[in-house]
Amino acid sequence: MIAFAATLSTLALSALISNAAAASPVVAPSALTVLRPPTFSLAAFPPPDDPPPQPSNPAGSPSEPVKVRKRPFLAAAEVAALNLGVWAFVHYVGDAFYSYISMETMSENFRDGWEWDRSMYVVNFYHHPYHGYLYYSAGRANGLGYWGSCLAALGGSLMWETVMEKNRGSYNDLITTTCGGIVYGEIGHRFSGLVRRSGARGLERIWRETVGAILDPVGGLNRLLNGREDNDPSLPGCPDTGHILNGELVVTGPVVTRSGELTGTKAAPILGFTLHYGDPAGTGWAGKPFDIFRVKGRLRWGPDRPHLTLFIHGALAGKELAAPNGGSHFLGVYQHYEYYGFDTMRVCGTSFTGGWNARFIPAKNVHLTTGARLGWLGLGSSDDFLATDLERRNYNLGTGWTAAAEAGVAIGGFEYFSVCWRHYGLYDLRVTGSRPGRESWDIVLGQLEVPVWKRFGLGLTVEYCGRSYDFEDSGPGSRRLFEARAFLAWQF
Amino acid sequence: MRNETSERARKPAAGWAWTVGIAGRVAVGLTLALAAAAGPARAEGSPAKTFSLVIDAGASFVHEPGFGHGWRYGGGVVFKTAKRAAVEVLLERFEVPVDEGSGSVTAGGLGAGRMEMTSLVINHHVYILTRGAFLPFATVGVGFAFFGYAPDDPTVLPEKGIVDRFALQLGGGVDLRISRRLALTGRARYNMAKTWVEILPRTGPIRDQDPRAQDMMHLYALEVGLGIKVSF
Repeated sequence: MIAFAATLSTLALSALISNAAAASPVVAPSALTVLRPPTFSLAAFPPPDDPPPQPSNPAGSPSEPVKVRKRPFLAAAEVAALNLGVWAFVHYVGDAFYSYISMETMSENFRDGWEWDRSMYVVNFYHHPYHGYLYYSAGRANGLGYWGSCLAALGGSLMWETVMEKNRGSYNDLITTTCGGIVYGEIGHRFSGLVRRSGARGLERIWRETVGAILDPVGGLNRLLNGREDNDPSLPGCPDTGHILNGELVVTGPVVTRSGELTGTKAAPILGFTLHYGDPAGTGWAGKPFDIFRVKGRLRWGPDRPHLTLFIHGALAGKELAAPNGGSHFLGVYQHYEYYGFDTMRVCGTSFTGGWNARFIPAKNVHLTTGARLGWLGLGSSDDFLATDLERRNYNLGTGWTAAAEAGVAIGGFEYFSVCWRHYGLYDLRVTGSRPGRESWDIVLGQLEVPVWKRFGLGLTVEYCGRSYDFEDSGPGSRRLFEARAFLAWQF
Repeated sequence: MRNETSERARKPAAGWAWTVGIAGRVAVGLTLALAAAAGPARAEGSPAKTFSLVIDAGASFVHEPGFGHGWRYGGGVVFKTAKRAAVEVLLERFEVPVDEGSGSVTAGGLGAGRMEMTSLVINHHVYILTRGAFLPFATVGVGFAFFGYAPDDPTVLPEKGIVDRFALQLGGGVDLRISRRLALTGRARYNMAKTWVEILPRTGPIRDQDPRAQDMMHLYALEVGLGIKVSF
């Protein structure tokens, strides 16, 4: 939870920083001719008749991308060192039972094969991806691209599962660590490239490097040890970094209304954000994985404990198509890591989808953005509310399909209305701790907002979560939650 | 019974102190002589050799109550990976006396005897200085610790053993360069194995034993050694 809070706050901070540091916008050279400064969240770019900004790369060579030196062996060594460091911490500080390893436990694990792990829900679906984030970061920090760093995440997870715990290797840990780590790691790498600045000195260098290190931990460590800032893959000018970021920060106050299943306090403080990297409609798409992605997250306090929600999806491949009046379409393949949490309902998963995003401009200064995605939910999980396990080690593991649709309307650079729908169809696996059956989840978020001062607005959010299930041992049923909240937001 | 054991352990300790004293004087003398011989090497700058063989010997001091100290020896290879960094793979062994009843309460304690530990260690050296004759370094490493236990009276039942472990090592040392290919190396490392006594034969996989239910021993050993390092 602390890690999530740190991630959330640093992402928000990076958004603020990148917005505030407008004097030195960081823009990929290849995208300079088409990208425009951000004005609102879902509709990421202003009307095409606005004048384009003048690029100013602080690195001093906007037209020459930084040549990145690949160091795969150093990446592998750092992945191994990460595992050993984490092991040393959990063994000598945490005294974790699973850290008592030896040559015998390793050989037993190779002999006995893999299993499905029953660690706590938050450990398996948030902490493990964070671990994978570090592996991936090691790859990126040593000049590897997306796919090379994917191998770093996979290799690090394989090493941990097979030899660094006394338990047998876990299928679900391997999947969530690798897939979640790739998503977290790539967005961390991209954001760190927005924050760091070559040539920064003094206090500016300290805060840029500190925030950059939080977002890209291994890259930060390498820079600290090497004192190296040239030829660094995290720097502006690198072909993988430098797209404009925009989004929204939201603070929610009073709950207007809620359904009976949501018990406890009537106040539900929420800190949320939406960050866009690149244009969802594909303008400036340079063809590299995660040139376009969106992070939408929130931390909700109470009533029983903090609950986090994180929706991330990034384009792995795609094609941009031009549309009339400056609009744009983007057909893409996306990678997702999603984690939805309410006090009484939780679902998460890693998935791959194909989808379409579009921006229409029906009138001057009016943007309509739409998107739809459909794909495979590789490994998903939902809370097992029928179990009475206080440690939350009971949850269903499943595979299935996922779909999403969204739309937003912005006028004059301010997003007035947005709505999104997410669907998860889960076929729960017949494995230890999981309740076999079928589930269908629908999550709808609607938002209406009006500007009150500059980029600040007041609004109302309506959230609905419905879950239908048909478990083999308990029969069909359904649960539904509904809540409406007032909020204060800042769009940038 | 306990007094007899203590008396038994005290006698070797006196001999041990004498041995350490002599060894220490020899080591200091050798160090001073080699330091004088290292003058020409000091002017040659940082050694460019990337591969080295090292052998060293010294003493181990186990901190767990009831465990004594003894000789240690080892050897390995060192691969220089960067200007300030090197990776070392080391195989070493030491043997110490064990007092009656030490080690574990729940397992009934170990009988008087000797414990040996063989370690296969991977160390990462970070050199603090990279030029000159004296090259101090810090070490962090991990390794497999294989324990052996031999009671003085092998007929005592049940048979007991010490569970092997993967352990962290921290320490440092200094290379004293004599020539471009030869250096004297002195090290001190802290080997931190957390383990427990088990009754043999084992009935199931070690993975199924819950460490939290064991009477844990901290076989943390200070290992000091002096050796030579030959670079290629």
